Amino acid sequence: MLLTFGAIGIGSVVGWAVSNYRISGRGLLLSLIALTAVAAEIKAISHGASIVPVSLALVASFGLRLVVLNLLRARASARP
Amino acid sequence: MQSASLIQLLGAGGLGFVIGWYVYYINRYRKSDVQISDLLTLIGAIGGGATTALFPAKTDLFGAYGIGLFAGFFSYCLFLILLVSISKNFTADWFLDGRRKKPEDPFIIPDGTAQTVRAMGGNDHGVVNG
Repeated sequence: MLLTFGAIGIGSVVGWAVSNYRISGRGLLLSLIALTAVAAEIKAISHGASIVPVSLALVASFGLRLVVLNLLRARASARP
Repeated sequence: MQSASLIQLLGAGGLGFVIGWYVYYINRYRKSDVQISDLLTLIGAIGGGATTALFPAKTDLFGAYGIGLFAGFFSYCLFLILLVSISKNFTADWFLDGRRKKPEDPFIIPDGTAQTVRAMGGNDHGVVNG
């Protein structure tokens, strides 16, 4: 259990980092390819943890960062 | 599977916390856009050979390390949000483009102060702040 939570933690950190790649101006497709490449690396370092929750954490963290960013932008542009 | 003592788990978690905090710090102060090689370097740093040597595969120690990494990384982000929310000189827009109130006398920003050039959104150079 602890191992799974730990691997999810690593997946979340890496997902957040990959979102920087997207925010730095790369296209969504290129970012998703990067995410897939990173997921393969994560599998290698998950040290026996199930890859499913790790991948979900990776994608969730990646998406959360972009959602937060877009919410902030929408709020800023709606301001007079 | 070899079980780990509480002090070992705390130690692994603490190490992960420090590394997670520092990963956010390095990312925030980086000077150029993120490349795919940077991502792979990051993965190697937080989960590569050194980590495997310290925390054997399929042990709770690796789990504690990962939880600490998560806590340290996102604690940095939460501290940024907390500091921005209690400061009168910053708003949430700082996360988008780095804007802040211009300091008025007697306050100054000394020359050589590291620029926090990465937050959430891109600026004119296509990079992100914080």
